[in-house]
Amino acid sequence: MPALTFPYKRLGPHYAPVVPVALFGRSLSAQTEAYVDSGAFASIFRLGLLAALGLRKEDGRVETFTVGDGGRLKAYAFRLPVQIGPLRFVARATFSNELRIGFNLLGRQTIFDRFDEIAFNERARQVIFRFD
Amino acid sequence: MRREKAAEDPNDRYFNTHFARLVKEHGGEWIVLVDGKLIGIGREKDLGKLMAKARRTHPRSMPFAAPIPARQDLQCLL
Repeated sequence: MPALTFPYKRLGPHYAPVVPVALFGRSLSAQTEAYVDSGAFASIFRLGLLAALGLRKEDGRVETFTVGDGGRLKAYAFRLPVQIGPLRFVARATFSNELRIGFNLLGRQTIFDRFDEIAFNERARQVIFRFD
Repeated sequence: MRREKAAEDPNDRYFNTHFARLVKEHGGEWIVLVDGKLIGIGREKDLGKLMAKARRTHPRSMPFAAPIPARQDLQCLL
């Protein structure tokens, strides 16, 4: 089974599964990076990327998520082509600045199910995306 | 099992190489790169201008835009 292997990114004293991701708007596209979070349901990108893709938040569907501390997070949802490595597919991406972390998050919904398996190898500091 | 190591991207390489300094000096801002070259660093409101500059100067390449985590963002990672 083919697989894409990404080394963990060093974040200060820690290493974390941060991978490059490309997002495609109607006419503009942008590369960014996102923390692969198997505990997150949705993929949440920073709101600033919408402008970088030539999209307006008003064109997205407003959704509210409950986060780990019980708080609520308002996000704007879009269905966009997303590319990880050579694989490009349409996925649901939400955009918000209310998560208050310095990263984009890659969650399970419509991302993880594009792959047969996503494995975290902590010892080797690698995240592996396996697909057919 | 066949493994394909993802090709190292020049933007990714730049961001990783300079990451510690960027967090220290520009945490909370955004970085825009293209073809491994720095286009600019600015606040979110400046991102449109930086992306336009990246597309103007490198029309054949896809620009890279990412938030630069602040120090406290790195400390708060679960």
